[in-house]
Amino acid sequence: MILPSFELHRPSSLAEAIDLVRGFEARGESYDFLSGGTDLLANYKCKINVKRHVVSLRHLPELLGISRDSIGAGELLWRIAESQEIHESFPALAKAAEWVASPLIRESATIGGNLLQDTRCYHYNQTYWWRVAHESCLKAEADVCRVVPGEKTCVATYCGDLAPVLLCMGASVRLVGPDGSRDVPLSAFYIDEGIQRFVKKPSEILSEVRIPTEARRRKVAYRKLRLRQSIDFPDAGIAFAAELSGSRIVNCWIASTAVGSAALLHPDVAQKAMGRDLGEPLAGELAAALVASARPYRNTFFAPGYRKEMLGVLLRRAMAEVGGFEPAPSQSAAG
Amino acid sequence: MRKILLRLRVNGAHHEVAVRPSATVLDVVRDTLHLTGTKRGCDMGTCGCCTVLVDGRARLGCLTLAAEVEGCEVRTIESLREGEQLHPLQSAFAECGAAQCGFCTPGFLMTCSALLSRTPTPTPEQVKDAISGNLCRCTGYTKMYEAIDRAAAQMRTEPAREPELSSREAVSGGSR
Ligand SMILES: Cc1cc2nc3c(=O)[nH]c(=O)nc-3n(C[C@H](O)[C@H](O)[C@H](O)COP(=O)(O)OP(=O)(O)OC[C@H]3O[C@@H](n4cnc5c(N)ncnc54)[C@H](O)[C@@H]3O)c2cc1C
Ligand code: FES
Ligand code: FES
Repeated sequence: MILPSFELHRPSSLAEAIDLVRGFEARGESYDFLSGGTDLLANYKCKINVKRHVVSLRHLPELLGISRDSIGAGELLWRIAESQEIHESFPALAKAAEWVASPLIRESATIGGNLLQDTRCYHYNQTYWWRVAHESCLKAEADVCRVVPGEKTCVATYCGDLAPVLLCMGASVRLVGPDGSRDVPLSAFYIDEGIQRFVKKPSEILSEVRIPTEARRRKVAYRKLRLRQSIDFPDAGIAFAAELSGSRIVNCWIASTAVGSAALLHPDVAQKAMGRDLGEPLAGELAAALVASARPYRNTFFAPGYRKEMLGVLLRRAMAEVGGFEPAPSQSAAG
Repeated sequence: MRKILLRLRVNGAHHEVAVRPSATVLDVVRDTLHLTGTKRGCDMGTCGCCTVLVDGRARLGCLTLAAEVEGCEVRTIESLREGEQLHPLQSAFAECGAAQCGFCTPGFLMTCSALLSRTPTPTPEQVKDAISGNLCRCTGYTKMYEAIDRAAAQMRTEPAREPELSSREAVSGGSR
């Protein structure tokens, strides 16, 4: 598939990139940012929301660097997965990075692109001809949702692997745009609507992911459901984090991905764990509460009922890893 | 759309090419430089047929813009063998029956050469992980594991040798 035409810009500094954006905004011209391109270029090949200008962020030194406090948005997923510092301080983040797509994709894919990847839907991630033959959808060329007839907002699914782990770590993102820079906690970043997706303005560049020192006290685990272990997007994903005093939970966080249009924290479910012992009885209770609250749509590979049930299984497994206990055998036939 | 002039280094040779800004590495090596050993499979990042080396690391040609590899050393399947001398990976793939139609083979070979240059003695797990972004619809993977093992052993111990083969074409990107 030949990529549609666009003008490519390769600024060599963040300031130069922002200047370009200022120009496009002033002239009312459309643009996209490009990091690894493993999400954007795949969508462009399907002629999805193609813009006139593409601004490559690959040559911005300001977007690089990995430490316990901050990860540059342009850092590649394989580097994050193999970084000793990340392995030692945040093993769940290293795992989540290692579980994204395939090794070949992780050679190009960045953490910034991962957090900002487009939402996905069976009716959207298709070739142009497929979409047009099926009268397309709200998020592309049409004004109706094919998943929920009559729905006026988009229910496409956010399928990033890193966001739930970073949510559980209390991370925030630094956004730099023509009007200056701001830090937004990830917990206030995503919007559960498939077209809007997040609070970032189109003109803002994600420059780094900031990790608070509290994250070092949290034990975090991540589990994902995918069709092929080798390459696929999550069809459901759960991160669990806890601050423990012995086996007692002092504080805990649960975050999901691939069940709605955003990666989301589940404070109502996590609340039930405060002050309790981290063990299988609690895991079963939280899993049931999480499953009861989830409403996945029929727009990814697995059926919504199965994904919903698997959320509970994934949560129990993540809690078992953090607590160091054996999860009870799954009721579900699924792995 | 206006074309852009790129200076690329492919298989050790310098090329100046005028291409659309949206041309991928795969478009340029196949359609401009006529190095057709690198295959266009899914063209969407899922099969690994288009794998080339960029500064020694295996990258997907179909999702990498050619403009982004200016200043880098790009290597394709055509550069794997030295003259008539097949690379140990090519010999091993042919000898073990790890290449049938040969369409996926250039991608596997480039992925494996990146793996073995960094990890001369990979564990079975490392091999399995390294090739998990490459798909083969013919051979299954068992013969590939054997071939990679054999090539790794040969590269550690013996000098390269010329095998008797009927599948030279398949392991050299000759499939269409
Ligand atoms: C076959 C396949 C399998 C995949 N499997 C997974 C998976 O298992 N898990 C998963 O999470 N993802 C998966 N992905 C999606 C994708 O590879 C990852 O999300 C990757 O991390 C995206 O990063 P990138 O640098 O390539 O993003 P790009 O494609 O460059 O960008 C993605 C989006 O973010 C914007 N953007 C990128 N960087 C910035 C920035 N710094 N500031 C502002 N905007 C920016 C771009 O404009 C674009 O809209 C898969 C993709 C493919 C093709
Ligand atoms: S052709 Fe590039 S991954 Fe399939
Ligand atoms: S040998 Fe035919 S696809 Fe692999």
